[in-house]
Amino acid sequence: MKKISLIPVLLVGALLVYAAQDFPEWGSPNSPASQSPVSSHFIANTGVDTEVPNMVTAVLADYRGFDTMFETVVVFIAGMAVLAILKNSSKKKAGSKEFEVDVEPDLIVTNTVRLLIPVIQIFAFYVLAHGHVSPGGGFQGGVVMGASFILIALSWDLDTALARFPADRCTLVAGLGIVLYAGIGLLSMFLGGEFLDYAELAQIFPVSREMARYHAMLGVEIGVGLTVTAIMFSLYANLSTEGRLKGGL
Amino acid sequence: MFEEGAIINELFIERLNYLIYVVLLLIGLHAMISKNNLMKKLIGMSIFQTAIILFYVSVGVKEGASIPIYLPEHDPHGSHVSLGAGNETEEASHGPVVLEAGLIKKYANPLPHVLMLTAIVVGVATLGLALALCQRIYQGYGTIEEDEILAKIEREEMRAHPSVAVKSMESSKPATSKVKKPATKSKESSTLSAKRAKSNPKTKAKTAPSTSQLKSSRSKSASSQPKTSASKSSSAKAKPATSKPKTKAKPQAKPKAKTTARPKSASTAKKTAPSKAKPRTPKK
Amino acid sequence: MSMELLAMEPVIAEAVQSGGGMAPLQLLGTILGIIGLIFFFGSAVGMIRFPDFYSRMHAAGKGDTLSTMLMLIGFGLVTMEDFSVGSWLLFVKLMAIVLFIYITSPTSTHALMRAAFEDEEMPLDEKDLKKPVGKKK
Repeated sequence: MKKISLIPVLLVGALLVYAAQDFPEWGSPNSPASQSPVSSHFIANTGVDTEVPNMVTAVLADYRGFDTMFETVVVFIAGMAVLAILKNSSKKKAGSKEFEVDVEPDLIVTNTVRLLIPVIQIFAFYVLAHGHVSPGGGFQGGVVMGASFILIALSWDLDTALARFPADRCTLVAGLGIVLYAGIGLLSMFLGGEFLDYAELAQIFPVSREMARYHAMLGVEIGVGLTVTAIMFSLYANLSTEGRLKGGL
Repeated sequence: MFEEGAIINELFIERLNYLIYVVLLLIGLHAMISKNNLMKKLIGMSIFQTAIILFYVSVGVKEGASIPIYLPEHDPHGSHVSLGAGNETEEASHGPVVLEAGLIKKYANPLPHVLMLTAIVVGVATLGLALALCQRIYQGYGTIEEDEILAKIEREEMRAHPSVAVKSMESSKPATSKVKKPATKSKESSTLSAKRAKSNPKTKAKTAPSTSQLKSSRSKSASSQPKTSASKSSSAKAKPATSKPKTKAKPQAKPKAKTTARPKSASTAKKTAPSKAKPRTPKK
Repeated sequence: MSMELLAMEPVIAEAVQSGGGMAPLQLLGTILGIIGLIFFFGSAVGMIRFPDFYSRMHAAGKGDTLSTMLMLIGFGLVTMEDFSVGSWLLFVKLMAIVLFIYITSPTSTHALMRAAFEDEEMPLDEKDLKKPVGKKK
C-alpha cells in the first residue's frame, strides 16, 4: 500500500518540478504576480483611497471586505459545527472519575500566568488596534486573545477559564462579531453606497471619506477579533473535553 | 553538460523556494495517502497547507523590497512621522500621494499576504473541525486507524444485514428467517447484544449502542419499502428494542441526554447503513 | 550565482575591510550570538543523548533559555548602530522578549517536569546506569 502510494506522489512531484521551471525567479519584481495591475493598484493607491499605511490591512478589510466577512463566517460555522458534533456525544458521564483532574493548580505556573495574562491581553488589543500601521489586525489579535484564555485553562483548569468566559457567551460573542461586521456593511448600504462601501459612512460621522474607510476598517477588525477570540477558546474547550466542558485539561 | 548544470543551478539556487514547496507538498500528500492513522492524515494535510502558503508567499517576494507597509516618506499621515531617523524634513509633512511605477517596486506584493492570511485562518478552523470529527469517530469506533474502522463497519453491517453475509459465508437458515420477519429479528439480536454487553462489561459501552444504532436504521430502511404492514410493526417494535441496550450502555446518563441522543444515533447510523440496505430490496 | 549572494558581496567585503574597526558593541553582540549558538547546540545534543526524561528536560530548559537570551541580547547590540530613537526602540523590544523568555521558559520546563513527576515517571538510578547504553530509549 505504501509503495503504491509512492507512485502518484512521485508523479505529482515530477510534474510540479517540471512546472517550476516556468515559474518566475526568486524575488523577481517582474513576476506576473507582482506585475499584475491589481497588486500595483493596491500598492499605489491604498494611501490615497484609505489613508491606511498597512496595505495588507487595507486590502483585507476594505478592498476584499466581502471575502473577509465570509471568511469570518467560515470560522464561526466551524466553531458551531464542532459544538454540534461534540455536544452530548460522549458516552461517559460528565463527572466520571476517568476524566477528573485531581491535581491542584501548580503554584509557580499559576503565579507566572497571573503575571503574563494582563500583558498578553493588552498585547492582543495592541495588535488589533495597531493593525493599520504595523503588522497585525483582527485575526492576529483575536488569536492572541483566545490564547490568553486557553492559557488560563491550561494553568488552572477549564472551569476557571469557563467562569471568566462561559461557553454560551462564546457563541454570543462570536455571533456579535459577525453582526458588527455585517452591520457596518449594511449601514453603508443604507446610506446609499454598496454593501461594505465604508466611504458612505462619512455622511454620518464628521470625517472625510478616506478617514471614514480608515475608521470603519477598525470596526470591522474588532468584529473579526471578537469572533476569532470566541471561536478559538470554544474550539479548545470542546476539543479538550470531548464536548463535555467539564474536567479535561 | 552545460544544460544539466543549468538545470541544477536553476532548481537549487535560483528556484530553491519552489523545490522546498514541492518537497513539503509531497510529504503532505504522501502522509495523506499512505497513513492509516487519521491524526497522521491531518498532520499531512497541515504540511500540505504549509507548502501552499510557502508557494504563494514566495511568489510575492520582490528583490530588495520592503514589507507592504508604507515607509515614513510615503506614509499617508506624514505629519505623524516623528520617529524616523533622518527623514523628518519637509518631506515628512505631506498628504497621501499615488505612488509611481518605480516606487511600487519598493514594496512587496500585498495580495499573496492577504490571501494566505485568510488561508491560515480558514485552515485553523477546518483543522479544528477535523479534530472534532476524529474525536467523534473515536467515540463511535474506539480507534482512529482507518483500516480498523473499515473492518468494524464491515463487521457491524454483517451483523445487521445477515443477507449480505449469506453470500460470503454462514448458514442460510437464520438469515432467511430474519429477512422475512425483521421485527422479530431486531428484537432477537438486540437481546443478543444486550447479553453480550452483560458478559463483556468492558466492551459493552462500545458495541451495544452501535449495533442498536444500525438496527434502528435498518428498521428505518425497511419502513421506506412499500411493504407497509411488516415495516410498521418493525418500526414500532424496534423503538423499545433500541432503547433497551442504550440504557444498559449508560445507566447513569440523565434522561435529557438520552432523549437527545436517540434521534442523533439514528441519523448517524443512517449514513453507514443505506449503502448495504439498497441491494437488499430487490430480493423481496 | 543567485542575485542574493551577489548583493551580499559588497557588504561582506566591507565587513572584511573594516575588520578590526568593527564597532565594539557589534563585536560584543556577535560574540554573544556565537556563545548563544554554542549553548543552543549543547542543549540540542543533550535533548537527544541524555538517557531519561528529567535530564533531557534539564538540557532543554536551561540550555534553551540561556542560549535564546544570549542570542537576543546579541541581536540587540548588533542593531545598535547609531543611538537613534529607532534603534533604541528595537533594543527595548528585544529586551522585553528576553524578559518574557526569562520568565516563561523555566516555568514551562517546570510544568513539564511536574506533569512527569505526577505521572510517576521515575528518574534513572544507579542500577539503570550500569546497564549497557543504548538499550533504553
